[in-house]
Amino acid sequence: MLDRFFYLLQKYPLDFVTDLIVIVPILVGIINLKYLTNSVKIILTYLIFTLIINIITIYLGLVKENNMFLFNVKDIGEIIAWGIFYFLILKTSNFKSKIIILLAIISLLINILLFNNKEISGYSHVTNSIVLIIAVFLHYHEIVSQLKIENILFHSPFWLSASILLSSSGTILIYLFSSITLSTTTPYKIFDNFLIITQIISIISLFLITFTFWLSRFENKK
Amino acid sequence: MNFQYELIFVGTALFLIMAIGLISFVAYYQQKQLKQKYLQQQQIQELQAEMQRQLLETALQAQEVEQRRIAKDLHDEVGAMLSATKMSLNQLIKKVADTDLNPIALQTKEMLEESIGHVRRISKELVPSTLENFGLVTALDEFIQKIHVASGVEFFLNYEGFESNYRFDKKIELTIFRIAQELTNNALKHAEATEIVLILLLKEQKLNFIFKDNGKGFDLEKVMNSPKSGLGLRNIASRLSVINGTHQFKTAIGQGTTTEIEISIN
Repeated sequence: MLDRFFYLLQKYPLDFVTDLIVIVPILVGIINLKYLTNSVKIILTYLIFTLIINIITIYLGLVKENNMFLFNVKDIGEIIAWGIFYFLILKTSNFKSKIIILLAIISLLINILLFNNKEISGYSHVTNSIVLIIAVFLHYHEIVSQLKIENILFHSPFWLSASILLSSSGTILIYLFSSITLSTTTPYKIFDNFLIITQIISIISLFLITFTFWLSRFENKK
Repeated sequence: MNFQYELIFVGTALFLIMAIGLISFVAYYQQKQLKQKYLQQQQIQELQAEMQRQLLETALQAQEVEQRRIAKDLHDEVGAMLSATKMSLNQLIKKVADTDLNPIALQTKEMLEESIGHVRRISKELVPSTLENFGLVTALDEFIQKIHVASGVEFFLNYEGFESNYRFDKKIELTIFRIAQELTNNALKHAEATEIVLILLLKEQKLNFIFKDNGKGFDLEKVMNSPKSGLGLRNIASRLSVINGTHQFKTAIGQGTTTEIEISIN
C-alpha cells in the first residue's frame, strides 16, 4: 500500500497537496483559537471535518475503492457549517438570517436527495455555491449598509466571505456542467484539467482562511 | 466538444474576476463610506461646538448687559440718593455743630462718604468704562493701581508690539480684562501672591497675554477636576473659547502660577 501511496503521490502531487494543505489553516486556527469568535470556530470545525474526509478519500484511493461519494459528504458538511456561520454573523438582521437558514435547509435537502454513491453530485455543489454566494452578498450588503466595522481589512468574516465567494464562483460552472467536466465518462485529460482548476481555487480559498485565522489575533485590538 | 470546455473555462475565469472585483469593490466602498461618515460626524461636532460657542457668547453678553444695568442703577439712583443725603447731612452738621450730637453727625458723614466711595467703585468695576474709552493697556493699568493701593501687592505691566492706545477688537479687550480680573482675584485670594507680572505681546497677528504670580501655586489636575474650586479656571477657558483663544496653566505647589493665553487677532 505504501508503494501505491508513493506512486500516486508522484503521479498526482496536487491532489495530495490539496487534500493535506487543509492542515495549515487548522494549525493556524488552533494556535489562534482564543482569538477566534464562535462563528469563525464553526469554520475551523468544518476544516477538521474536511481533513478527516480527505484522509478517508486518500485511504480509499490507496485501496482502490470508489471515493467519489466523499465529495458529496463534504458538500453536506459545507452547507451545514457555512449556513450556521452566516446565520451567526447575520443574526443582527432577522430577515437576512432567516433567508440564510431557509436557503441552507433547502440546499441541505437537495444534497441529501441528490446524494450519489458513485459520482460527484454536481448539482448539489452548484446549489451550495448559489446559496453561499447569496449569503456572501447579504453579508457584504450588511457591511456596507451598517458601517459598523471600522477597518474591513481586519474583519475576519469579510475574508472568510471572500474565500467562499472565490471558491463558489470559481467552481460553479465546472460543477454545473459536471456531466462533461468531472464525470467518469469525461476524457481523462479534460477531467484532470478541471480538477486542477478546482484544486487551485481550493488552495487559494484555504490560504484566505489561514490568513483569516491569523488575522483574528489583531481583530479585537482594532 | 473543445469549444464547450473553452466556454466553461472562460466562464469560470470571468466568474473569478467578478468575485475578485466584488471583494475589492466592497472593501473600497466600505472604506469610502466610513470616511464620509467620519467627515459628517466631524462636521456635526464642529457645528455643535460652534453652537455652544455662540450660546456662551450670548450668555456672556447678557451678563455684561446685566452688569451695565446694575452699575447704572447704582450710579444714577443709589449714588444720587447718597449724594443728596450727604448734602442734607452737611446742613444738619452745621445746625448741630455746637451740640453733643456733632461727633455722631461727623461719624455718620464719614460712613456716608465711605458708602458713596464703595458704590462708585462697585459701579466702575461692573462696567469697565476705562476699557471702553481708552483701551486695554490703560484699563489694566488703572485696575492694577487700584489693587496695589488696596492690597499692597506689587504689579508690573509690560506690553510689546503695539502702542498703549492701540485698540483691539472689543470682545478681545473685554475677555483679556475679565481674565486679568479673575486671575488677580485668584492670586490675592487663594495664592497669597505679593508680586504679579502682566505681559501683553502682539506678534504676527497673535496677541499673547502672560500672567505670572509668585503665590503658593496649586495642584492643577486636582483643581480642574473639582467642581467648586475649578470654576474660575473653567470660566477663563469658556471666555477664551468664544474668541477662539487658547490657554495654558503652569503651576505647582510652592512655585507660583503662570497663565499663558494666545488669541489670534485676525
